[in-house]
Amino acid sequence: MTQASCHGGPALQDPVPSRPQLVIAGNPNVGKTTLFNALTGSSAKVSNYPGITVEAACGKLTLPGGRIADLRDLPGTYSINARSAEEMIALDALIGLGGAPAPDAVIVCVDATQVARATYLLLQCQELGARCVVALTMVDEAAAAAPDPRALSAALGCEVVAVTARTRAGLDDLRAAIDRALPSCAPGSTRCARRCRPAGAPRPATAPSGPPPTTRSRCGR
Amino acid sequence: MNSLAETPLGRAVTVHAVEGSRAFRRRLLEMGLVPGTAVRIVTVAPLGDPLRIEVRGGQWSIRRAEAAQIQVQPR
Repeated sequence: MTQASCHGGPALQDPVPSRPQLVIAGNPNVGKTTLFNALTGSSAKVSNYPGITVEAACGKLTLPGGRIADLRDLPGTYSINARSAEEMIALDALIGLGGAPAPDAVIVCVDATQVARATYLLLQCQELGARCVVALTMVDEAAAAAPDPRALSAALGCEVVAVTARTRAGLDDLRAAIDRALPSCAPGSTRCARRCRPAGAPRPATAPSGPPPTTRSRCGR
Repeated sequence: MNSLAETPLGRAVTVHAVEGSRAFRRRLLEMGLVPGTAVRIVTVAPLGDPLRIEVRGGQWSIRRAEAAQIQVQPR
């Protein structure tokens, strides 16, 4: 898991966050804050109607293996085309504007009763180049109508974990999936070293002779 | 071609086109109200204005003026 070689790379960007940065994104009223509270032990306000979360809440999430990540809960949005102030907050957090670094992975909350509606935002997150993990929420509500996580995972091209945040079912699976989605280098590595390489790829050689960054690189400034 | 606002309560129709401002069209389209989608009016508020419509298993509340910008055809 930990690669010592990830440390000591050139400081290409600052400030460098010391922990992996995660965000929870999703449509309004799909259970993002309930999941956030369950994962971090926070008590952010939850209600059964949309529009409760209007700014990003922050918490800490312990991943399998003891790694600690910063987790931010975002206001709900239907797309990355922001129209309202809280959608703008969600968009800025997803693409790394507004002071915070771009997330190392995005947990996309998908309401198991409304999967089709959520796929638009998920696709946009994937097109941004984010590492996505889908948390399929409200599985208990959808009951028999809930999609099969494995089939959905194959269709969407990212890991899908069914969770019921109220009863904490599936949370450990979700933590493990997040850990797999994160780049394998240790926290504290430079943002560029973390984001320019796919997870598990060897570290490029010294800068000039190194292989070109992948097409998803956004670090070419 | 009729608008959704003229559709009788409870009758399922198919979306043909969404008109109106760019922001409004984009909003409805990204929420899943794309041409070909089934939609029906579930409830009308007492004074006849906001309408509750059902789209893809979810329910939304929209203005009658907005519903008038959604062109529908019989299923």
